[in-house]
This record gives sequence, C-alpha cells and structure tokens, in this order.
Amino acid sequence: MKTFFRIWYLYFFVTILILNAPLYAATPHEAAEEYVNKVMEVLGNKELGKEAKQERLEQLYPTMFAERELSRRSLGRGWEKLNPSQQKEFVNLFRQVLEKAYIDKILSYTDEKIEFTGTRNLNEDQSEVQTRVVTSSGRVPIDYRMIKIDDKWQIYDVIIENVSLIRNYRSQFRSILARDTPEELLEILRKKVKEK
Amino acid sequence: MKYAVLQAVLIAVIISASGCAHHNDRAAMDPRELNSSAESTDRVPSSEVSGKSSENQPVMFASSSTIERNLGETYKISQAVEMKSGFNDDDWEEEEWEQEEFTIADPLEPFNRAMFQFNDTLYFRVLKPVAQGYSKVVPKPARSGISHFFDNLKFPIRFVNNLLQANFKGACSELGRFTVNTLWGVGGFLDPASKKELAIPEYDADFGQTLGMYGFGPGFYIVWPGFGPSSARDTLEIGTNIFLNPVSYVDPGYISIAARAYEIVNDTSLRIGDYEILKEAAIDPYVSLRHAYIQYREEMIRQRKNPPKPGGIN
Repeated sequence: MKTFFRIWYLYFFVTILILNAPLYAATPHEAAEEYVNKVMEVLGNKELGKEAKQERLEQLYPTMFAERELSRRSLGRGWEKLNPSQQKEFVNLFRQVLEKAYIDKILSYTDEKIEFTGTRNLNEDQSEVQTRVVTSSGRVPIDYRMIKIDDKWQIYDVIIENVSLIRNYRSQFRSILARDTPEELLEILRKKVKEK
Repeated sequence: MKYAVLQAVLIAVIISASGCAHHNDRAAMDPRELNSSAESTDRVPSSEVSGKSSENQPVMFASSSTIERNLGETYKISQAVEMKSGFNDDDWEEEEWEQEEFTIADPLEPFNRAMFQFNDTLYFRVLKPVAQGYSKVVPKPARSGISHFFDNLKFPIRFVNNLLQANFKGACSELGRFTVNTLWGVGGFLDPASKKELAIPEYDADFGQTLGMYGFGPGFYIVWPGFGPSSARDTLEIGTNIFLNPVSYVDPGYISIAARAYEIVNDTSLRIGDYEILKEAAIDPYVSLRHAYIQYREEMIRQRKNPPKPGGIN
C-alpha cells in the first residue's frame, strides 16, 4: 500500500508538471531578433569574402522566411491559377528574384543600426514586429510580418515605410495575370532571374 | 486499494479537466489581445478614403468585424465564421487587422508608361552620370550638409501646411527645427535639431497631404516628365512648392533654376542605387512604382488624420 501511494504521488506530481509546464516557444520578437543577429553576424565577419557572405545569407534565407506563404500571398488570388508544380517553381524563382535584387544592398551594409520598437499581435499565429533602421541620413521604419508555422515564427512580409512588399508584388502579378497565363508569368520570372 | 485507484482516476480526471480549463482561459485571453490590437490599428472607414476598395470587400469582412467589435465571448462565433467561410487561400485581403489597400485609377496609362520610360532614360543617361561625377569631387558629409541646407530652406512649405492641417504641434516643432538649425546649424548645413540632445521631431507636410486631409482623393495617377510619379491632387503641390520655396524668389531667374538643378543633382548623388533596386526587384517596374507611390502617400495622409498611438503590445 505504501509503495502504491509513493507511485501515486509520483504520478500526481508528474501530471501536474506536464500539464503546467509552460510550453516554450520563442516570441515573434525573439525570432526576428535572432534572424537579424544572424544576418549581422555574417555581414560583420571580416574573414569572409563577398561570395562567402552571399552564400551564407542564401543559406539563412529559407530558415528566416516562410517562402511558400510569402509566394502565395504575393500572388493573391492568382495562386490558385498555378498548378502544384508551377507553384513550386514560382516559389523557387521568386526567391531568386528577391535575392538578386537585395543582396548587394544588404552586403553594402555599413553603419546602420536596427532598433526594435514594438510588436503588434495580429492574431494567434500572426504578428508584426516593428523595427527602425537608423542610418546617418535618417530613420526608416521596417516592419516584419511574422507567421507561426510548426511552432516557428517566420517572416512572410516586409513593410518598408508603410509599403508592403507582398502587396506591391501582388499589384504587379495581378496586372500580369490579367493578360497572361501562369506559364507566361513563370517565363517572365525565368528571364528576370537569368538577365545580368 | 480499490478506493485508492478510484481516487487516482478521479484526481487525474480533475487535473486534466483543469488543464483544459487552463487552455480555455488562454484561448479566452487571446480575443482581448486581438481586440485591443484591432483598436490600435485605427482603421479609417474605407469609404472615406476610396469608395472603390470598400466595394471590393466581400460581405464576410463586414460581418466578421462587427462580431469582433462586441467581443467578450464572441471569439468562438467569429472563429466559426472564419471556419465556415474559410480563411482559405482566397481571402487574406480580408483579415480584419489588415489595413485597406489603396488604389488609384490610371486612365492615362499609355501616356504614363511613356513618361516613366522618359524619366528612366533621363535618370540613367543624364542625372546618374552627373551625380556620380559630382559625388567623386564632393565628399559625402558635404553633400548631406547641402541637402540639409536646401531642406531647411523649405521650412515655409512644411510650416504653412502644418498650420493648414491645424497641426499646431507639428508647426511648432518645424519652427523649432528651423530656428535651431539656422542658428546653430550654420545656416542649416548641420542638423543639430535631430541630435539626441534635442531630438525635435520632423513633421513633413505638403499641400497634397493637406488636401488629402480635407477629404480630397488622389484622383488619377500621372507621371510628370522630370518630376516623376504624382496624382491629380498632388500635382497642385508642385505649384505651391514653387510658391513657398525661397529658392524660387532668387533673382535673376536663371540662378534660381540653377540652384534647383543643383539641389536635384546633390540629392540624387545621395540616393544612387535606390531606384536601381526598385527596378531590379520589380517584375513590372511601372506598376511597382505606382503601387508604392499611392500606398506611401495615402498611408501618410491616413496617419495624419489618425495619428497612430505610440507603442504596441509587447
């Protein structure tokens, strides 16, 4: 009987521990800060050449961004017009377009400081982390929209000076898909990625 | 023995039930957060700014937001609504925290596209090479000093428009900045007002913004050769800017024009690369710039009408 009670108590405590253990999940702010720090680490690493830095950043990209979500929202209603394999190709091409456009700007980072100014919870699994980039010539507000996928916060939109990146792309894709087929859209992207 | 087993089962049930209740508590807490964040977004009735976008919004948006308004326990209902109408791939536009998207009519698109092309060529063939050559001769601190100087001179534009917008705080702030920067900033070349010790905030204001605040919509999109993207409403701003800019009153006139041209070259030299990125990142640069222009302008006006409350939920 005594041993039974011992087991019973053990069971009791274990149950309480399991039920009340706070499930640790990073907040959107922590996730965003972690991403920014990782990028800064690569950029500040003086041992790395330009190419090596670029390679490291390209590796970081899929861990930071919810790529599929970003692509899906950029296409808006047009996403449904693409078949699954086209969607897959689109995600891939869109990533290359973004990398190609912004890599030089990011690599030329010199004296900018990033301040975290607040977080706005949008709903249970979406959140907006607000930051400010302070440069010698002024401040630029940059907000990151984050989404929780598999308990991990990832970026799906970047809002610079109140202009949303995905909304801007959506306006472009909308006007393209209004006259062209999805295949033609992919062709435009393929060309865009190839051109120097 | 039997009794103990029964007790164990009973307590286990109670604990798991309390565990569930605990979870429900958390679920019940979220809508409050949701609600307060919805409040802090200060959504302007979309019909006020552009009737067009409100027409496009499906009924679900309205119904869901009414439900959100009298929250309390209605979280579950709104969730049910979401599930039923499906927050599916189709309606991310309607997520209730999403700020409305501004749109602008573009009846002159063929003309605008031609002007866009003209400005593009002007930039790459003339402005950029000149600005690049200039920046090789003049060091960056000097160039940003000159940029500050011209900005400081434009104080009357900001001051008058802040007054017209009944933004007295902004007008005082700009007056303070002008005084400090003119006296201690060597005639405006330095910007001591923005330094940490003073940190007088800028309240940029222009005539297009003032008109927007009084309910004038942007009208239609127009690209002016040399000036770039604008709208029917913001075009009026070009005139008032000339009227309120002291540089325009420099006599003789050709010096005034030369000063303007010099300012443009100087400002461009500080921004080489920005337009290139926009163009490089865009699939259709014309549409991208049009969208960015109208979002930026209208959002600025919206924020002037309803200044955002500082801070968010942390």
